[in-house]
Amino acid sequence: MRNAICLNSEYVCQRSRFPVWQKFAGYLDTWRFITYGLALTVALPLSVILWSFNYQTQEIWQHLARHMLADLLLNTAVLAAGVLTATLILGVSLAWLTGVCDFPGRKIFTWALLLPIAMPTYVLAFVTLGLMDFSGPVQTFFRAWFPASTGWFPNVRSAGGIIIVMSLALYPYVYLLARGAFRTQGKRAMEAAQSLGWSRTSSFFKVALPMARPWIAGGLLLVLMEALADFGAVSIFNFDTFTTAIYKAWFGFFSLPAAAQLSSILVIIIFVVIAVEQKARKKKRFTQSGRSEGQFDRIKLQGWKKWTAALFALTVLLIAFVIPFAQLLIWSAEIFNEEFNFRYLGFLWRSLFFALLASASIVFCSILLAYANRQHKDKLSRFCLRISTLGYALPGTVLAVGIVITITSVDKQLANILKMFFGYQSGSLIQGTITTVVAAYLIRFMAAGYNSVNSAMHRISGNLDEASISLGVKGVSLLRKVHVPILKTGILTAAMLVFVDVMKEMPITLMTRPFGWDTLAVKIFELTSEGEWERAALPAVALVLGGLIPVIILTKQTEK
Amino acid sequence: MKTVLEVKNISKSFGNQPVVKNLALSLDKGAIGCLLGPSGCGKTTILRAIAGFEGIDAGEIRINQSIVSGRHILVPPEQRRIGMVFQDYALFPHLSVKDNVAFGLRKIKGKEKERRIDELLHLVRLDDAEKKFPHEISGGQQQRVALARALAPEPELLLMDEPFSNLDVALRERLSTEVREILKEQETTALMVTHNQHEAFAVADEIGVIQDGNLVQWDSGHNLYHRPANDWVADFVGDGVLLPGMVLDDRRVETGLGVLEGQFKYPCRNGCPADVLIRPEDIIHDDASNFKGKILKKHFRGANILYTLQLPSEDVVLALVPSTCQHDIGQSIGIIPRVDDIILFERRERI
Repeated sequence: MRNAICLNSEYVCQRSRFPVWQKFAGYLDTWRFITYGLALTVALPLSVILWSFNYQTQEIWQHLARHMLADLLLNTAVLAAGVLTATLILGVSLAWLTGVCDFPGRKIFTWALLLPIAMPTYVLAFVTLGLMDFSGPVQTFFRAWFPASTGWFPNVRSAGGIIIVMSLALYPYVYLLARGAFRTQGKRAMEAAQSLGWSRTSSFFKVALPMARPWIAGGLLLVLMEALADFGAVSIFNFDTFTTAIYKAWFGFFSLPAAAQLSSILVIIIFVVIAVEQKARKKKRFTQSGRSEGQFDRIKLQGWKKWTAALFALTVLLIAFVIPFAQLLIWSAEIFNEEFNFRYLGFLWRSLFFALLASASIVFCSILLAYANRQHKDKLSRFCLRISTLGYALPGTVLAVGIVITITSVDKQLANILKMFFGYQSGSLIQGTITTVVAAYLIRFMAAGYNSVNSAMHRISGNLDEASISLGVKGVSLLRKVHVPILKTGILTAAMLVFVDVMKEMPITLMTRPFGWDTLAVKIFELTSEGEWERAALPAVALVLGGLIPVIILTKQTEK
Repeated sequence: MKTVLEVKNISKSFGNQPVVKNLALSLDKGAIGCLLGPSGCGKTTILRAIAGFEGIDAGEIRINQSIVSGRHILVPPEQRRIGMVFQDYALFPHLSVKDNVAFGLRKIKGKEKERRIDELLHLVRLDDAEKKFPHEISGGQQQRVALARALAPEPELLLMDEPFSNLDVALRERLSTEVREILKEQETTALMVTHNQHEAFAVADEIGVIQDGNLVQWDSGHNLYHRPANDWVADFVGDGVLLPGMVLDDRRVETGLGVLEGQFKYPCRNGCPADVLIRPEDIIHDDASNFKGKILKKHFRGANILYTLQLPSEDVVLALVPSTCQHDIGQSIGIIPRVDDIILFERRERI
């Protein structure tokens, strides 16, 4: 579209060689169209969910409400409280040690402590169970050495267990953000505090830590959203939260409306969390800009302190990543010959297919959205943009429910139209196809793609366009010579992040996939539901290896 | 008079690169000193070494006779009883103005603390801003908060790192004089670092000119201007040119401006070449004079115009003329040299 290349310069638009398009653009601004369209796509399933709050009370719902709701709320609260506390302590302490102090192995730990991001929470969950189960290596070991302890071992399938597993999987969010804040904000402020008589350690706690609060809060909110949205890990642990209840209502009781109602409650909780996040984000703008002022001299830990620090970091790394991954490798090796067959390659192929398809569509939409955002910064456009990227906050299970309901009704309308105009009696057209799945991925992971593309887009300031145009390079050449090279890395990063996210994704795929379209993630879930840890290990290894890609990207970004 | 700061022959290198070379200076109580030099000359490093944020490789630094920095000793900044105003102020964004100022007041509590805070806010004329946060006040106000904060715990020595560089020109001039008044009133001993000579002249009693890590001259502003120690200082401080000349005898030097008579200091007294420092105000414009200079360049400065003139001898001088009298480039104007202080330097080959 010629008018698509009319960037923010009137000059370019007026010199357009296609006056017909020019006229058309006057009536219908494509950019706004795109923004509104995408926002609508996200808003529909969401409003469907919220609307279901009004459903007439059904028997199933009454049953759920009377017996389960209180437990669900309690479990959710316990999970949230536990995970937030644990990730706060783990994340901030590790960020303090690797960001501000110096101890043996610090350089390695700095990036190694990010490795748990590569492992999906549900994978860590089943490995932990496999390790700690009655017949697993840990308990066997204990029984062999301490026979008196038989039957005494703490129950891993408990609130405590799931809290520990989730915290180990999610602390990197807090760790990453806290560490970034400490490294970029602190130096000047700490020197100022020192010049006023405070020692380095007390300066840190009195100045650097409070200044990092908005970032730590940001990390904690991400953790909270992940914890609320999690489905795989809590299922494996038989820990009932809203997500498992939604699944059971839909696939167990076959009541989609009941699932929708449960979803609406979860969505309301999440909206509260988002509101808090928005407030915290506003506060962030008032703190000093994170321009790196040069790194301050690290606090060199001495004596027993430095060894304790090293030991602490090592322990976390071991139990959060190294030991689980090692166990996965061992299990995979044991069953490799049986499992690595044609069927397995089928799962791999389907995972890759979904990931590629989703990645391509999301990156495409992200680029469009980013340009649209550049063109129109009015309130409505910005609001629609916010809605378009809201999907990341919605749990996969909720999104699946919303999408299916939406598409079912769209299907009905389409079927009516077809019947009316063509006399053609059709079944469901979209429902039950991969369109449903990919649409859900689009909504859920748009934010990931958009953020990368948009931050790359920021580097193309409006001045850049004007400078280029004043030198005679405009239109397609402008895109080719200026925009594409600058955006290249951002687009690539976006594609990779979305690719990995979709490969690991489980709830949406599980609940919306067409018959026979099992992916690696779905397979893992089915196998672990039956306690088949070893067989699940093979696909899990593939996912963890894929998950290392975003970790490498993140590490490179933080090293800048 | 008590010597508050004593810097004895300090040297510092970063890696293989020497940044401070054998530097020595001292400050008495109540004096305001300044380190003046171009960017990258090492002056900030010296300040940070005195503060204790950097160590030194050789020499020693003493505050109130106690050694704080040496080859093997580094007393941490929080124990040196110094105050520091940073270039970007480094105000704590999460604390209000009042809490920022109170930050260093650890030893006093309660009513006394309140009184001290009020006293300081009044001193910097920010009584109303107590409850505001750093992002809610202007740059000039932030600078005053930074000063109040540093002065609150009554430090032995106040260090200021280019305190005015983030402000616009009009504000700079006003605040320079204000800061000097505040420091004198509080009888604070202070050391400032800047690349701007006008600030140095406005604030400090004694100025040290730093070139590539060396202290070239430590003197009052007046002496730096009128009796520069070498040609580099003459060039750096104020405008001027170095005119090649020939020493005739004890009192006379022959130059492109004619024979200049006066007292001067120079090792050779008879028939040797030297460069003479000619400042713009040494050339008086007089239409009646037969001695003419041709205008090469013209620089309007409001009250004056700075002309670059070519003398009959082909030498170039600068002349400062009141702007009521306007001339064009290419014109020849009459001038009379009036060099009160004859400053001579060794003749150097110049491009």
